[in-house]
Amino acid sequence: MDTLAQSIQILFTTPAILMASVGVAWGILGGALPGLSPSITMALLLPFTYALDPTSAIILLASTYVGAEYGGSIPAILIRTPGTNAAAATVIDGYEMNRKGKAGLALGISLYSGVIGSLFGLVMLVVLSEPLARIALSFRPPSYFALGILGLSVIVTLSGGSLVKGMIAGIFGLMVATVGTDPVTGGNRFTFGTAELLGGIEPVLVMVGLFAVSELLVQATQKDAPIRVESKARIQFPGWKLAKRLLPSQMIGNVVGTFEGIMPGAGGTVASFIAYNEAKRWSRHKEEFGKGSPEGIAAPETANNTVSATAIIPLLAFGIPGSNSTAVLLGGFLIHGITVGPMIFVKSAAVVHGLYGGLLVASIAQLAIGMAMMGPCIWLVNRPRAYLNAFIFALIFSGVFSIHQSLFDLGLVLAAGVVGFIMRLLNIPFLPTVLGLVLGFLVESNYRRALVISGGDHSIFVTDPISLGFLTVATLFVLGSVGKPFFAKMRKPRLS
Amino acid sequence: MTRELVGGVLAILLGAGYLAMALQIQPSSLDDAIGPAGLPRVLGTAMVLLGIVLSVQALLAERRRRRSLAAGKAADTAAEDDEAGEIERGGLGGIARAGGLLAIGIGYLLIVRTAGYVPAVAALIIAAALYGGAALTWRVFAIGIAGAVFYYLLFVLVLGIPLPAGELINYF
Repeated sequence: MDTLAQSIQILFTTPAILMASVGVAWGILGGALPGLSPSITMALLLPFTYALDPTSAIILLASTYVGAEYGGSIPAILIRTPGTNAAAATVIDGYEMNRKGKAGLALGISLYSGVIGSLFGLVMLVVLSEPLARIALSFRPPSYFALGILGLSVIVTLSGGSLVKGMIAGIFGLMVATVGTDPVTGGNRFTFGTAELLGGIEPVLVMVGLFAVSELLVQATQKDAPIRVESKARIQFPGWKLAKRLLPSQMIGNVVGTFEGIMPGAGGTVASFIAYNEAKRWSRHKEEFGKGSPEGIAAPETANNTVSATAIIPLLAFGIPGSNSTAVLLGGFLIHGITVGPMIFVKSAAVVHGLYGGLLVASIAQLAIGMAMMGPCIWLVNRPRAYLNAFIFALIFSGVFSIHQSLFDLGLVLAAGVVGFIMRLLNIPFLPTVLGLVLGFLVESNYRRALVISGGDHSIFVTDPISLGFLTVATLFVLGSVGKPFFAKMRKPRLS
Repeated sequence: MTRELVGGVLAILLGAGYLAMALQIQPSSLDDAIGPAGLPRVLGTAMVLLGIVLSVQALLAERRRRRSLAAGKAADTAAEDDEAGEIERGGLGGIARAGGLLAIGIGYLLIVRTAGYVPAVAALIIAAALYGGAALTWRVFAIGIAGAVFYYLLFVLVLGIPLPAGELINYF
């Protein structure tokens, strides 16, 4: 009850409501543009958050995530092109409904299910984050080191087909994290005599470069294929009877979204497809799936919007981002000097409560803003790509310069963009790099501090029960992920 | 040369360069048991080893592919459908186009201090739009200038963030 009261108080004493509304609107616009993922949409906002107070900044970013998950379904339904990866499952039945002249109803189901998903995810976020963080309060340096290793172990599920490439990307992130002043002795490493590198390379610059600049470079390699969206689409919400029919698939979306959000590395895309599949399995109208089933929109849209809140749970409780979007959100916390992890509930409780309140506003405001943004979204999607990219390019340059008024930062962002482009060309995933970058300091400093405590004895990592637990889970996680294809191969002959 | 082999070679070069620099980190009297060079050495070595593994994997896959081709079987081209495949389909011309956009960005970095924010951003928008395929008409210039003024108003007046005024203004 205290949490609720404080969240509501923050809503009315800070610009939280405005930030939540702006965030949702920006998220819907970004999500509706094919090519701009929720994380890129959030990364574009990161530089602006410097000028804001911490609570407003975090609400703005988290609300963008909420808005982008719905925004992705707009082009998915209207032009069969998912605006975000998580909206890919929505294409299947959303576009079929559009072809049958029910685009407005499909958009209404998507928006309404998104609101249900966001609200349910928020409840889970409030209920689960603090108890998990309370466990984490008893952490010592070995536990933090092991937690960092657990976070890094997520790399195996994010490697997208090649574990070696995922590990290369993760180590590259750890390498970047070593630039600057050594966390224990204070000596300089890899600074090349440059004063700007003494404080290290800020994750926000790397993220903007990797996500946003590399996307523009990739788009420059491709010919502009003009997109045309019918501008008459208007949102139509489902009636009582249809709403009742959608309820089971929305509940499936909620449950799947909760599990997938908490599980690092899974994210909205996996949640959407699992929810779609489960909704089909449990539906009384299985035959309609793939031919314009309303449940085929409700389940994935509820799931990916649930994830937009539940993915924040491991970030707040343990300081571990499990997805690109939460990694960018972590960047927002770092900009304001807030350390995420269990102590956030003690040291920055107001920010956490503000985040809860902001997400509540964002989830509800999504209904009205989603309807209002329909026209601007269609207008924006219909703009020539050349102009859109030029404006995004200028926005990145202006935003990044505004952080420290430093051209060196702009150079770093461009360099990170080139690295991101090369990584995409070589099919090397980004998130391991981001994980390495943000967890590098945690892992190295706590590893060395633990050894200082133990007098150089490595057994401290197994005698500390929390550390042992995390290392065991990390080992099982890695073995499970690596062994999955092997077990699948073993099962195949038996099945056949 | 396959993407995997290029990735492997790049990882080896990156790891070796980083390791060489890590080996040059001088010990100090404040050092703990691990020291500031400890993790970098491990990371550099791991990167080199992973680069070797990726290169060997790539060479073995290439050998398998050639054998399949020699045996008259269809080669596995599944990887061509991913994003990297899309970039690759643009060919060297596509990569050069990305380089061109990057050059526009570098150009902005070079002129912004002298020209000032508004002219530099206007030039950036106009150049990037023309480069992206916009037609060379008065419209692109008008949109570029309007965009620069919009961003100036947003950053300087609304958000209160100082942006470079430039040196050109001194001549007026």
